[in-house]
Amino acid sequence: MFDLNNVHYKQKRKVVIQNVSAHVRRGDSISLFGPNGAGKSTLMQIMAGLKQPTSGTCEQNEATDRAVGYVPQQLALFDNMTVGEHITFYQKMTKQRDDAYINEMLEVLALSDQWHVKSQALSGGMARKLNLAIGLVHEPHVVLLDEAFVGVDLATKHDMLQWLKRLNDNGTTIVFITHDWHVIYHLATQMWLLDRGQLIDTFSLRDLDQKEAEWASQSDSALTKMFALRH
Amino acid sequence: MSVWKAILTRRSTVITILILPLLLAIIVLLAKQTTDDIDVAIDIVDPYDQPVIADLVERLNERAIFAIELRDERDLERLERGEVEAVFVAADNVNERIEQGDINNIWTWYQHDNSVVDGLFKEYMASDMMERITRAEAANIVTRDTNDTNWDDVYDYGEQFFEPTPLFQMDFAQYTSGMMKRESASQWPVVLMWGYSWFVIIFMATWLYEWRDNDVTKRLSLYQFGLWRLHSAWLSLVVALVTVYLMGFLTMQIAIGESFEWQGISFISLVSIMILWLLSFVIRSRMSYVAVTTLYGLTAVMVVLLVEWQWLSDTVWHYIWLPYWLIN
Repeated sequence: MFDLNNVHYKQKRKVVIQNVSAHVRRGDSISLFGPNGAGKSTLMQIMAGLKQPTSGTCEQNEATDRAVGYVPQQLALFDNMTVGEHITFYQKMTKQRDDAYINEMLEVLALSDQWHVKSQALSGGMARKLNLAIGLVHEPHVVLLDEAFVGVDLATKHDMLQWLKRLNDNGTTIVFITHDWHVIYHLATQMWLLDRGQLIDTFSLRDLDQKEAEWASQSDSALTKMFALRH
Repeated sequence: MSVWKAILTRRSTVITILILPLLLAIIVLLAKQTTDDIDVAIDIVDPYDQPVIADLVERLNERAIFAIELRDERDLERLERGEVEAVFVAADNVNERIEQGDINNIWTWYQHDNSVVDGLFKEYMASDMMERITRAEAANIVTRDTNDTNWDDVYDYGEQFFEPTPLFQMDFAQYTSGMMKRESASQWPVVLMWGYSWFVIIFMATWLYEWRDNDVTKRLSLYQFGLWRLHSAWLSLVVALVTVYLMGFLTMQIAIGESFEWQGISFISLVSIMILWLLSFVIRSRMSYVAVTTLYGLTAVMVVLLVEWQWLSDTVWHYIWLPYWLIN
């Protein structure tokens, strides 16, 4: 789906991403993992086309008429708009007419009952679900989730993971940022480790134990501590 | 329409765009009505029940600011209690004295220490008396020198020279910096109208920043024309709001019997919307945007009002202030 070739990104003379080269294939579910400031969000925004790399290229190698599904870290919701108005607004925006898909998504995410509730009246978990649903309204082939699970309870996490897992099983590519091992176990098939703007490792989730052992022997880095919290 | 609804249903929006202008309109109309209702109470006392005094009172009552009561007896207690601003007592044989050109001691003027504007009434009354005496003197001269003229006909004929408006109500003009400026065509309400619209547009622009801050714009920019649709919804709402304000302002101006050039303020308002919209792309911080644009708006209104009231002289530099275009 994506070919990243020597992607380099500078912001206000500060290097945020340096020489990242990697590939995202159809049906992948990749967790971008690393400490704060590692460049995960920036790399995701480059993949979404929201930012242009300073040098290098990020190409989508499969033609698609559907926009990337992007779920930002913030609750990108309109105040005073109900759940139903949000969904309808983005349906019109993306010309999505498959009501069956929408209804199923709302059912799985338990948002159907909240149709007439205004966004600011939703609980934190419900607002996160709506934030996710909006990004998935148009059945995107690629979904990019920037810490979409922050602050949600286990039940909400369950609903969100259930729907995302189903999409991934049906061939949707998912790239997500999280610090939550629980989410990684349930959703990821691969992990990309980033630190200080560099992609330092990519591996399958099957190799997680081995990678943990490798990182445990490393010096006292942020990634070592993050792996230490795995259990 | 969803975006419109989202903006218009927020409490702060309702207060800013609906309740404040309604309150302002009500206050202006009430103030206008109150000033219309404030009449200066004057007692005119005529113990001799003379028709000329009744005619004088009728004519002076046409002046909207006076409430004149014609009485038979003098009551200075009313003056003491502040019920009237002044008491004028007429002498006997006023008509005969006017015809003879004898203008001394026709009136006795009683006033209180707290009387303020009775001098204005005295001027009006003196004006009316002078008109009558002038016409009477003219009639006296004409009938003395000619045999076939009637005194009353000449007296009535003289009235046309005092109509339709007295000489002192002419339109004043002042010559400043090579430019003729009319004092009577005041544009300050239009400048204030622009100022209010400017601040409403700034308030509305804060939505653009909110959408940017919470990544709504980032999300929409991934869809074809997504960002443009959001901005066009915002622009159309702001244009509609300003149009409603202008129509309300026009209606108010018509209601109070004044007029203004609606084309000018419509054009300047559109330019203001476009400038503030484009500035929102240039200034990235919401606080900086509000500070810069509010400062400009306040300065523009103050400078232009000072120029309008001729406390500041005209210079070409004033054209950097948008409302300045409205008064020139």
